[in-house]
Amino acid sequence: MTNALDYKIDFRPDFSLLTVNLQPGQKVHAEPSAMASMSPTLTMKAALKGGAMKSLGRMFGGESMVVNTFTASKGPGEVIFAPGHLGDTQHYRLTGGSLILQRGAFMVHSEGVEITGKWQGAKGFFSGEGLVLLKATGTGDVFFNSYGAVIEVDVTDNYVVDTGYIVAFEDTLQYQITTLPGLRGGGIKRLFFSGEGLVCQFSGQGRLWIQTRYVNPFLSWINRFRPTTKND
Amino acid sequence: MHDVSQEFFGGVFNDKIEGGRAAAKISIHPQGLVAETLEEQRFEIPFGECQLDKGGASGRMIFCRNNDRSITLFCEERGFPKALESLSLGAFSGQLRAIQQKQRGHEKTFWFWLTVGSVMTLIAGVIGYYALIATTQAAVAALPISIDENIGSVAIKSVELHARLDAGHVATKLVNDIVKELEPHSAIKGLNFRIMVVDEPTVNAFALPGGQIVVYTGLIKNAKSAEQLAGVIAHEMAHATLRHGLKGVGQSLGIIAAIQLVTGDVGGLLALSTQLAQESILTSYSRKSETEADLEGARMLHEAGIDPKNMADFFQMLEKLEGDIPDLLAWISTHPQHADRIARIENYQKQLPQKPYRLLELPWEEVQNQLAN
Repeated sequence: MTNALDYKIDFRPDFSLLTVNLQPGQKVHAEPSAMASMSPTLTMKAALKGGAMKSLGRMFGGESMVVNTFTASKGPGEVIFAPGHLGDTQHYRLTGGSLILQRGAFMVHSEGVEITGKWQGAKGFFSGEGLVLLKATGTGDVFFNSYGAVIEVDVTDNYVVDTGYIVAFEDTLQYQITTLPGLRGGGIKRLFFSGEGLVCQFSGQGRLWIQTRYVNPFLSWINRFRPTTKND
Repeated sequence: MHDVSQEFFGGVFNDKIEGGRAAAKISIHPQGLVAETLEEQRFEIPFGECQLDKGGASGRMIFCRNNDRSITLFCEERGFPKALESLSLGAFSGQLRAIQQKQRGHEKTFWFWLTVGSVMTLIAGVIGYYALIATTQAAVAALPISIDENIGSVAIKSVELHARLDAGHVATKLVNDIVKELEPHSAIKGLNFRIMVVDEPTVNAFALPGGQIVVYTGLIKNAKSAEQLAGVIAHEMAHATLRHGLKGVGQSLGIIAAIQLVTGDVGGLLALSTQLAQESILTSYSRKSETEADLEGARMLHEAGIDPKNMADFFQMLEKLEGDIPDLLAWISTHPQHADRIARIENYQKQLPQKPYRLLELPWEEVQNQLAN
């Protein structure tokens, strides 16, 4: 295996922190503002990676167009990355295939990996999770973060996940946006009032990562406690 | 057959592999498919055992499983299905065709529902739009006329009337006399018409909801007779009696509400397109109301015994003036094409019963002389 990163993930799952040890000359790429601390031997450069189209793809996938590159230019050193919100950080080793990531889930990747947007069309529109997912391709390490802890599921045939809980899945899994099987035929009323709207139905074989919390219900819960200001 | 590549990049699922999955080089041999991982583990599925399936995140990935499903090879490369078909000497043609048909079936269903959805949305939109217009028209008719007057008195404050001629001025008196001639024939009774004449060269006049009418001296000077001026005033009075101002407000509020109801809270792009759609609807609406005011004005003139042709003549005169006076643009931009208006008024007049028209006995020459000084 070439260019495997030397890394460790601490304080899992809720306050996870990723530490990457770089050998001289080695590079790691991260989403902006993910860096918490780094050795003075490293240098950082911000750039639109992979050209305009790929940068746009990332932007539509809920990420920044800019990717920060950390290089161990003056000797070995470590860099620490933290996700933007509470939750776990997960490692995945790409070996030529691809990994599909939920909007905004990307955090860090090594050399040899490319992050682009993956157009979802009608699928994305109806899922309510945005029209573009992220796609990591190539050979190397990818780190993605979740909201809450992460459960790894080995799908062997079929599996159903609420769209808001999907973090990432392997390219060998086929997915379809659908209503919960029990709701079908129950009329549109149940779809709207059950609170269990659209789900993602996975089929085939592959790994799937789901998070233990979904950010939208949390936001609507916390919204009630938000101080309000009156405009006049 | 030699131009078809025999080696592809893909992967394999098997319990002997650490993690259960590995990337692999997949090659098509005469007897079957072979996958070799980077750790040099080798897996083989004879053609006779191979069950094909299509799927994956892209929907284009080909899977091949053996009988007990212990080995699954997969490959997403574009040339793979074709190579498989030709190199397996037709062993898969049936299976591949079935997969393709399944795919086409999915696509057909997708396009069917997409078409049905778009058509339904379009129909609902059209019905909704016309229902909205009908509702606002009916709702406005049910509102008391005092609302028009309130809106009008608020609106007049935003109009600059520095050079307003006083009520005793001959020009103000002239316009007042014309209004008195027409008032008994207006569509609704009890509207309190108030006239303001403003000393400005602008060739324009406008009516506010509730019956306030502003006439610029530029318009009076350019009119060729008191009857032509009456034509324009009848048009403006018709705006007030047909309650176009309130209908316009009601409609634009209704359209905004309806669009928000449909689109929900969506920002950016949608807001922009909403605004554009709204503006185009409102311009065409105001043009429609101009035409209505023309015909209603012509009716009032006819009832009052004034030849409606005077209104058409005034528009003809405007057409000739166009280009000479830049101020005219104000009138032209919101008003329909003169030629169309003239034709419509003349057509309408043909439908009216023949009747002798009179000339207004008003001090036209005196007003023109006063204004010229």
